[in-house]
This record gives sequence, structure tokens and C-alpha cells, in this order.
Amino acid sequence: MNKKMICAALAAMMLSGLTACGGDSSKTETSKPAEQSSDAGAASSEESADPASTDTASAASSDAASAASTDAASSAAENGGASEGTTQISFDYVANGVTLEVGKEADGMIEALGQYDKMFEAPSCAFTGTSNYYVYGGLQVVTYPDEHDQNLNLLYEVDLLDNTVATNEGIRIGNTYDDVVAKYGKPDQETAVFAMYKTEGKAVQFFFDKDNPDVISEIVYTVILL
Amino acid sequence: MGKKKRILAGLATVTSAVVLLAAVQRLLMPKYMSDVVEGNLIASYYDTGKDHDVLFIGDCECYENFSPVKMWRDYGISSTIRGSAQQLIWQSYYLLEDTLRYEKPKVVVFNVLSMKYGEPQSEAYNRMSIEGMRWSKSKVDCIKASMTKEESFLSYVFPILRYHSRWSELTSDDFKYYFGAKPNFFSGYYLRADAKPAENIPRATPLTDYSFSDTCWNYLDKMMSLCAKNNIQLVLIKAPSLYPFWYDEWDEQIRDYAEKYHLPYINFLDESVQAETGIDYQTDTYDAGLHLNVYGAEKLSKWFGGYLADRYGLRNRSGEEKLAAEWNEIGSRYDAEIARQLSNLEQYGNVKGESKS
Amino acid sequence: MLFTDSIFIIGLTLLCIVYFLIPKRFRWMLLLAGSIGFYAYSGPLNLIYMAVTALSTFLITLRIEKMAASAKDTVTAHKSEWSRDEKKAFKEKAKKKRFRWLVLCLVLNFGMLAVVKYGAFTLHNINSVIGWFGGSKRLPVRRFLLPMGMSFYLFQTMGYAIDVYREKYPAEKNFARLGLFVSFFPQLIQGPISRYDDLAKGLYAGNGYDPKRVTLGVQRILWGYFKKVALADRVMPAVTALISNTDQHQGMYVLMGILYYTLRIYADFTGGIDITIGIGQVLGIPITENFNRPFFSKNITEYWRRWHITLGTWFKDYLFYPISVCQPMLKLSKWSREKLGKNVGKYLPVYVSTVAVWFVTGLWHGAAWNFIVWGLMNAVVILISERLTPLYGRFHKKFAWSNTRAYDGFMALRTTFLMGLLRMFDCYLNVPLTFKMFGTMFYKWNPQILWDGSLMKLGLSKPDYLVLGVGVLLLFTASMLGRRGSVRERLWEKSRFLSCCLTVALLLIVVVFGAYGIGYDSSQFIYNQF
Repeated sequence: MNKKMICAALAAMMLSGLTACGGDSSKTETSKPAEQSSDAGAASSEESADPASTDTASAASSDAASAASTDAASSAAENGGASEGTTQISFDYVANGVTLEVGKEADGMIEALGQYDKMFEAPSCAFTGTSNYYVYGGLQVVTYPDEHDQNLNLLYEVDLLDNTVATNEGIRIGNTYDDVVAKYGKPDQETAVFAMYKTEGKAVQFFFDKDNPDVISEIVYTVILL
Repeated sequence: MGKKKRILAGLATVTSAVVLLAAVQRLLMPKYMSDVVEGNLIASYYDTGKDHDVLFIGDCECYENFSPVKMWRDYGISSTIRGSAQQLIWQSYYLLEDTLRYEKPKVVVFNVLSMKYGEPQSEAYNRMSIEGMRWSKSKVDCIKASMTKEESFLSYVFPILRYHSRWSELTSDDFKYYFGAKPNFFSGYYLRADAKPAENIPRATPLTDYSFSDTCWNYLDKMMSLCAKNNIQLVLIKAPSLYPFWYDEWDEQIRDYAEKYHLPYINFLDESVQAETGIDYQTDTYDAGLHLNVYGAEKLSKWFGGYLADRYGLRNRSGEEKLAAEWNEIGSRYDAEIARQLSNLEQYGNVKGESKS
Repeated sequence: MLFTDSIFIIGLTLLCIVYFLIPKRFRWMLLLAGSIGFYAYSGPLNLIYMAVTALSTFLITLRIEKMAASAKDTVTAHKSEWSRDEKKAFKEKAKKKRFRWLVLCLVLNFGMLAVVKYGAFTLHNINSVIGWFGGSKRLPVRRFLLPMGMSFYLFQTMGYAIDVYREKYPAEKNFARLGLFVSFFPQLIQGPISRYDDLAKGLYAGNGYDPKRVTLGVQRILWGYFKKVALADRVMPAVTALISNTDQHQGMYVLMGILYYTLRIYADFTGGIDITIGIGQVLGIPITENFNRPFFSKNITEYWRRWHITLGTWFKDYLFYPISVCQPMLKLSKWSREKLGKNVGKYLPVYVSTVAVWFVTGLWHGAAWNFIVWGLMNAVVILISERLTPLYGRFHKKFAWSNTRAYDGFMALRTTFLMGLLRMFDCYLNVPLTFKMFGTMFYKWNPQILWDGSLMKLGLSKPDYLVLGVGVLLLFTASMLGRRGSVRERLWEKSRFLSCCLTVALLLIVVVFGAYGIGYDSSQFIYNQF
């Protein structure tokens, strides 16, 4: 049981580890990190010792690690759920070639959309930023100020107000519940008055006419806050 | 060193640390004077007389839409507003509790817009609504109910823990108002004399859930029973702001509640009420329909003062010398402020008197 | 719980006040109660792990001691009958028996650590190897939440067990008192790893209030908070930004990352230790120093004698020496001297021990390849410089300028930089990425980021840089002054008034310039990345 064996074992472990890591990151950059990260997080975080460990102290970090893995899990589940439908749902509305991504910085998108027909500014009380409403034909685009930086406008909502505009999947006001389900699959959440498809932090919602509950009266792409 | 001397030295060190920290804290806390004056609304109550018949509680739809000076001048009704930006319903409730420690009004008017928020919203607003309160059990409860996840109770007790990083943002205001700010409010009213017509009010986006949260209903219940216990008439209102949206579905819930408990509820957005108040959204709002300017507020106060006087037998107290003197002081400041804002408008194009360049 | 949690600060203050008010003989019990409370707050279930460690160590060390005593008695009883060889044989046998008990203790406790801390990591690697050979089966990976501070209290307690086995001092007879040694709360967050003979005396002494000691202790605590809250937590957003957006932050950014992270680690770790030792000082419990101005080291070997000292000495005493002198190693040494020549034969065992120790050191820091590679890189650098020592000697002899203070300064900077460079292994997501980022330093030429405002986009504003700059200057000045003995001590002797002023000033500085509260979230670090 001598040194040779120990050395060999060390070397083997080291090599296998290196390749394992390398393989992970190079091959499946997009899907793996979550798994890999929560793993390493759980591992490294706990001990607040030296540097690495110091950065995190155990309680907080283990929470975080577990939170990270739950997040990953739930988002994976959601993706799975979404893809069950017939089409891949796009949660970012595309208007005139401009992708409107809710929850993201809005100024660039608004600029790209060009001249609006109407605009309404709603300053928050006591100067904590402004919500803006822009109308482009049948489209209403809403921004809201970032919680921590009032000068940063984020995209809050995209409303499809009339049947001149349709979702990326071709659904428009006047279509029916069945049309929606045929295109999008089973809603993640629904009641008599709306059907909603969700992904992380965003949703697309179809509202139905109060008097004619089978027919869509409004379509909203929105951020899910809180 | 003797034992006594040692203890004294220790005490001196601790005391000087506390005094220094307090002094620095005062410097670092926002003074809310030049820009966000609304931060001073809550504290301003303690500097005024404590003899009011009507108490308004609520958010900006209270403190910008009702003019107590007008109600005094027209009806001899002494009223005050305890409102702050995005004041949540539990904050209104605890401010009501707080106010009752000082006086007992005959009527409490609550603006129901905040029913839409069932959870703590924003730290900045919390600070403005709470920090001005004097310490009492009500304030403690208010803090506990209001804190967002990132906030800590301790930082309300020792605000320096919150504002310590302002050392790099200090302005001349922080030194100028070190010993106390003197904001220009009129019994809790924030006055604006400019006008911006309401145009392009956006279409309200439908909601997936219109029901108010249990938390809000609980506080409304508490508010109602606190008023009942103190023999105070509670009046629910929805101020005539066109934005933020007030959904019909919300209105129905409040109407049902008011009916159930025999509370008066006035929705100033109702066309019939609007016809009576005579609010003109072309001239009576200063920010395109969100808040009324002083002209709108006066119209509203004229109507509402009459309504309250008729319904709840509030007598005209303009003959009471002491009270009249207080209101005269407020009234003359009020007139001066309107004049100042109008002259600024003429000279600079804005009420604050900021030069465009 | 963290040092910076308000609950910790409030609890600590109360505990210190009560500590001085109650009678001497109850003071250690208060510490025990406080420690248990503190640990329970971090997770009540964690107490179970700790209790297992304390109880198993308590029983086994008593047992070992008893066995040693009875063995001695037996030898004494047979003094006249047994020959020298018989005595020796009996002693050996008895020692072996005791050794088995020690091994039981070590296996039980380190086994617990292995499962909790390294279980998932090991299974993950086994799975990788299976995948490597084309297997499709995977072992289920179950993760445990590692109890806070486990690596610290476990190492400390195992050191105690080994010492008792080695008959360095008698075993503790009172379970509660041993419990305090295991659980002493200021050491649970960031160490150090104390020795029983250093710590115990102060722990149970119940020393009373002493103005000088308390003042200096409070100053040390505040100085620790200054490092942690004003500097380490303040620079953190930049570190996070640099390591999370690696596509953009290459070249000169990597260099800046080394700078920021070095500051972060130093301020956070030494600050934590300052707080721990300061608490000890207030309570009259001397705690071993864990740092000795590490960035003044001229080479890495020296650096590791000055950085995280208690971990280094732990490994030296309980791992390096035992490995170096164990039977297989002696055999290896003999074999290599015979087969590979005198020179190699002499060094091989040292090298093997060094690599093993650094492998374990890396592993101790965390169950990830990042840490292991980091540890092994240290070993490589240490071994290389070891080999080059004669060359250095000649160099210094030949060039007079290499013996100046300025050159010493250069060497210190070089060591600091090298250690900072290696530290990046526990910063970047994985080992290949770390190498890749190092690579960009050579081919991505972007020094303009230093002045074109790019550094302002890393989550640090001008005031932040101001605080960091002044803070680093303060650290440096304090280190320089500290070479001639404790600054606080000298100030106290000079003027008590000034000493009190310093305390108040430190408090104000921490409160005002600390990066804490809303807008600062220092705890969001590792999990962004890992």
C-alpha cells in the first residue's frame, strides 16, 4: 500500500475530474450549468472558512444552493409543460421585427418601434419613476420604472387591443378559446374569463368577452411581478 | 485609575459614541425639502393644531385632491389629511390609531384605492409613510405590517443603518435643514397650481384576479370597528383620479361591503357625482388625470364639505377664535403658495421655479 | 448566522454584558449556552452532528486515557518480572489498542464529514467516470446541507483526540466543558482551528471585566467589521460581475478580478478572524492568531506560514508528519533511495506528503475540483520554489540589489499576486474556464478599461472606489505599524483618552462606510456563480 498507488490514485482522480468538468461545460453549455452549479454551490458554500467559504456563510448559502436547484427544477418543469403544446410558445411579442421582451430594459425597444400614435406618462407619486403607455395602432406597450433605479424603464406589458394585430402564433381578438388551445396547448392557468400561459417571470394572457365568454376580447403579454 | 473614574470614563465613551451617531444620523437622513417633499407629509401633522372634525386617510388621492383650507373657508369645517405616497391600507389604519392618540374627529374619510395592494410594495414609500410617525405601538405595528422582505425593523429604529450610504450624496439641504425641515403643507394638503389636461388615458388592461386580498379586508374591518368604538363616522371614497385605473370589479366589491355594513361610499369617478362636483379634466388636474390641482381640489372640497356638513351635522366653527387664528395662518400661507407657484409658472414655465437651462 | 447579522451583534452584546455580571464559575456555562443557542439558530438539526462529535470524542478520549493509565499500571506492576523487550512489546500492543479507538473516533467523525460534505461530489464524479466509459447508469446523488462550521469544529475536536492519544495532555473529564471547547461560537463561522491546550484555559477561567482588555477587544472587533463590511462586502459586486460575465470580462478584467478578489478574501477572512479574536479578548479568552501579515511574505512557503496559520499547522502536525514517518512512506523512501538514487530518494517522500497534504487542503476548502486543483497548484508552486532554492541563493549572492528593501517589497507583491492568481480557481465556475480566463490575459490587450470608465460599470461607484482606496491604505498602514507590536496596545499605553476616541471613531466608520443594508447584498455571491 505504498506511495505509488496513492500517487496513481491521485492522478487518476484528478484527470477524471478535469475531463468530467471539461466535458460538461464544453458539450452542453446551455443545459448543464444549472445542475453543475447547484452541485458546486452546495459543496463549496457551506464552510465559511477560507476565501471561498468565507464568501458565503453556511445558512445563507445552503438556502441559496437549494433555491437555485429548485429554480432550475421548476423552470425545467415549466419548459416541459410549455412544449407539451402543439407549438413552441413565444413569450416575447414581435412587432414590426422588434422583439418586445417584457421585464427587460425598454428604451431601446420603444425607440425601435418608431413613432407612436398616442402616449401617456404616469409619474409615480413622489418621483419614483414613471410608467409610460405607448399606443401603436392596435398595440399598447407599457413600461414601468425599475424598483432600484427609477431612471431605468422596463417593459411591463404588451396589449393587443384590436384584431388588426395577432400574436406571434397568429391568434387575434375575435378568435375563440378552442383556437387558442389548438395553437398553445393546455393553459397553465385558466378561469371563465381568461387563459394564461406562463414561463419564468412572463406570461401571455387571453381574456374573453364578458358577454360572449368563448371569444377573445384582449391579449396581454406581461411580466409576472413578485 | 480608581473604580469610579473607570466607570465614568466608560460611560463617557459610550455616551459620546451614541451622541455622535445620533448627530451623524440626523445629517444623513433625507430632508425631503427640495425634491421629494411628500416625504415630510406624515411628520407635518404633529406641528399643527389637534382640533379637527374630519380626518382624511389614504394615499396621494387624498393629500392632492382635497383642500382643507377650502373646507374651512366655505363651511368652517376643520379637517386634516394624514396621507402619503402609496400609503397602504394598514399604514392608513395605524395612522388612524396614531391620530386618535391626539384627537377624536367626528368623521374619518378613507380613500379605497390602496385596497389593491395586499402586500408590502416599496421600501421608498414605506419610509415616507412611516418614518414621520412618532413612536408608539401603532408605529411598531405599522412597521411590522409594512416591511418588504429586504427591510429590517432595526433600520427603522436606527435609520442610520438605512441611510448611512448617503454620505456621498449629501447636499446643501442636509445642512440647511439639519435642525428641522419646514415643508409647506396645508393641513396635510400638497398644493399644485399648474394644469395639464388629461389626454390619452390608456385603456385599462384586464386583470386575471380582481379580488382584494384578505389582508386588506381585515384592515378595512379593523378600521371600521375602531371608528365604531370611538363613535366616528367612517366614509369610504374613491377620489376622482383617472389613473391608476379603478376597475368596475373593484368598485362592486367596495359597494357591496359598504352596503353590508351601512357605510357611505362615494365614487367620485361616477358620472352622476362628477356632474355635481364639476371637475373638468382639461383644467383641474396637473398631471393629465392622475391628481387634481388646487382648482380641482377646491371644487371637490366644496362639494364634499357640503355633503359632510349636511349629512353629519358638522357645524360651522369659523366663529371659534383660536381655531380661526390657526386656519387664518394656514390660509395665508396657502394663498401665498398659490401666488408663488403662479408667478413661477409665468416666469419659468413650472411651479417650482426651476430655470429650464 | 453571520457576523454581520443584526441578531448576532445584539446577542453578542447581551452575552458580554451578562458574562461580566454573573459569578465567575457560571461564566463558561453561559458561553456554552450561548454557543448552543447560536448553533441551534443556524439550524437545530445541526446540533445533532455536533453532539455526535462531542460525545464520541468525549467517550473515546476517556477510554483511551483509561487504557493508557491501566497499561502503565500493568507495566509498573510487572516492573520486576518483565524483561525490557517484554515491556516494550506490551506497550506497543497497548498503544495499538488505543490507536484502534482513535481510528474509530476519526473514522466516525471524518466519515460524517465525508458523507455530508463530499458525498454528492464523490457520487457526481463516479457518475462522470461511468459516463466516461460509456455507461448509462447513474448513481442517485443525494445532497446534504452541510452544518455550519463543521470543518472547523471537527478538525479542532479531532486534533484534541489525537493529542490525548499522543498523551500531550489529559482528556477533559467534564462533558459540558468539552462541549464548550467543541462549540465555542466565535470560532464556528470562520475559525480559527484552535488547540485544546491553547484555548481551554481561557475558556473555563471566567475572566472578569478589565477595561484595557475590553477596550482593545472591542477595537479589534470593530476593525474586523471595518474590513468585512466596508471593504470585503463593498468590493463583492465587482467580483461577482467579473466572474459571472466571462465573455465580456477578459484580459485586463481578469487582472482586475485578481486584485478585487484578493482584497475580498483578505478583508473578509482576516476581518472575521479579527472579530473572533476580539470577542475572545473582550471575554478574556486568548484565541490563537490565524494571520501574520500574509501579504508581506517573500515566497509562498512563507505565505502559508502566515495565512490561515491554524489550518496549516493542523495539517502539518496531524497529516504531514504522520504521512512522512508512516511505515509505507519509510518503505517507499528506502525503495526509492535504492532504486532511484540518493537525490530522488531523499525528496520523493517529502513530495508525496506535500502533494497529499495540499490535495486534502484543497478538498477541505470545498467539495469541488476547483478547490482541489487550487490545492495542487499550491503544491506545485511550493515544490518548484523548493527545487529552485539553491538557485535563488546564488542569485541573491551575486546581485547586491536583490537584497534591498525594495526587492523585498517586489517579492512580497509577487507572492501576493501569485496567490491571488491561484485563488481565482475558487472564483470562476470551473477549472477549464479558469485556465481559459488566465489565457485571455495574454492575448486580449485591453488596458484602456482602466481609464475609459469600464471599471465604473462593475457595480462600484466613485464613492465605493474612494472607500476601497482609503481602506486599503488604512490596512497597509496598520500592517506596517503593527510590525512593531500591537497598535492598539501602544495607543492605550500612550493615552487612554485617544484609545477611547479610536474606538468611537471605528464604530462611526463602520456604521457610515459599511456596505450593508438595502442596496447591498453581499450574500448573493457564490450562488450566482456556483
